[in-house]
Amino acid sequence: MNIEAPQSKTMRAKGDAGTTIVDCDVHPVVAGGFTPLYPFMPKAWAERFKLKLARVPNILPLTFRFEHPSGSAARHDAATPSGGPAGSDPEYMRKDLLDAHGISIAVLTSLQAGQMGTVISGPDESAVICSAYNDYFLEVWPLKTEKRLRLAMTVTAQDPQAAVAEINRIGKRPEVCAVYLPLINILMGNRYYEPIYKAAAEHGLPILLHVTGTDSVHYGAPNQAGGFPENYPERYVSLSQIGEANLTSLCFSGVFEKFPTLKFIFAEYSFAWALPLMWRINRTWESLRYDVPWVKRPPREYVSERVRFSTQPLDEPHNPEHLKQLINMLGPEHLVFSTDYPHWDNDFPAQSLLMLDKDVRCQILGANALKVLRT
Amino acid sequence: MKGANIANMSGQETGHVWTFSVSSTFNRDEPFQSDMTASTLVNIGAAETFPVNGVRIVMAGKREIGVVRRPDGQVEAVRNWCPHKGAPICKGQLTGTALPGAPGTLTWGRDGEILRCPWHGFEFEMATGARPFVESRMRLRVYPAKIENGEIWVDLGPRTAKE
Repeated sequence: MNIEAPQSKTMRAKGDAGTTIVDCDVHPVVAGGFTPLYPFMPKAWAERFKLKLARVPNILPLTFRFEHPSGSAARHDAATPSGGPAGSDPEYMRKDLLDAHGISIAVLTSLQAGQMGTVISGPDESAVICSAYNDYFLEVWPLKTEKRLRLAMTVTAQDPQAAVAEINRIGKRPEVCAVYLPLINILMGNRYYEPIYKAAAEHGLPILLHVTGTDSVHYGAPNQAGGFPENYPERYVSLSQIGEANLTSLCFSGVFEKFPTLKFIFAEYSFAWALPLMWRINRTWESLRYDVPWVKRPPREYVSERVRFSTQPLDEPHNPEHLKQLINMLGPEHLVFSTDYPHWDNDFPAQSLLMLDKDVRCQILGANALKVLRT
Repeated sequence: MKGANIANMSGQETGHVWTFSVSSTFNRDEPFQSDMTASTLVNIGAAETFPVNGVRIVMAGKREIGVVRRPDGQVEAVRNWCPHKGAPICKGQLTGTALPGAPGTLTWGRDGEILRCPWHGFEFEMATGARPFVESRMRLRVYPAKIENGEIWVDLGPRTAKE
């Protein structure tokens, strides 16, 4: 496809004009929680949810212990002009994100759907809810006309067969660029997920992972290692452990061999950890390959070919050159850019990765993602 | 094992990495041929004192080596020194390994051909010193060896023989 860089010059880094920027982590919100979804689900399910007084907040409360210190992880300044929740107005998102920051493609990942796709609802409920969210964004949001907005369709992790049915139902639509798989407490190398991987691979869609807000909060969700965090910062920083655990699981499970075309995007798990982890994974494979003989090549080769990490939240060492060195050591081909709009811990292009050589930065800002997403 | 380049490697320590250059070729499937002078050959004892398909560690000159006598009369000899971290590798397992295969399958092969280090588990082919299924410059030091008149002779090469 041809991708035209937007003309807006607001918040643009010097020299970025004309640069293709793909934002791999943007969060749309359905204002009003459940009510707008009812037209997109069978009546029986809508009635069931009404009886249960179902509601979905704009951002999942993490329980009081983990609530964001400012009251919300969504930026207060990103509220819509009409006072709606941040991320709920596609027209405002167009101005506030796409035009203002020169985004060529924004990958919409619904954390509301992700929450309900994991452990907040039951397996059958989650499948209905994920479908309703997908249809809402496909039909209500202007994805057919605003080509810069693409959907990472959400599937339930609680029922792999239902997830497969959903991929087969809408996975061919051109507005869909990835499959968002909100994880439960089963590691990704487990064969439980294989039907989902197969369907995604058949559709040429990458699997996109993202924390859901249920992590370390709800029973059945992935938990962080070592014990129960005590506050928001502690939980926030250690969320990358879930990314580490799942990357390790993928590397030793044989998933890369079973699904040789399938690609993965780890969104918002950060990436600095991936460098020493891959050192250790490779080193361990060299010692103990005979225990996992289905891993036929050094794991780093699979990862280099088929796993990408989104850049946000960027680490900010005292000396920016250290981050540059780390990216060069990891290999810039592993990274795809993301803003996490409209959340508080965003990275926008104008302030991001400016210490990198221009060609490397351009690669991370856009080119790498275009090789992974189905565009 | 045809055409494996193993013999007469000279080791050079550079920091923590050992690099080797190969100066000649030894074919495991061909009769013992040493182009060394007789002064580089070391008699390590009567063949019957070495177990068949087992490792015996002996001194060859000043070098500690592990020796395996095969049923067909061939002899394999390696330095008792893992090139990874210097472990006494010949005290590890002489074993087979799991061959690369499809997920969920397990295929045993190369039985008795693989020497596995007791420390970090690195595997090497006893006959060639190469690492099976892992591309690596790291190799086990292998010495040509033969049985002659019931005695086992090991060719340490000129560099080691001078020690």
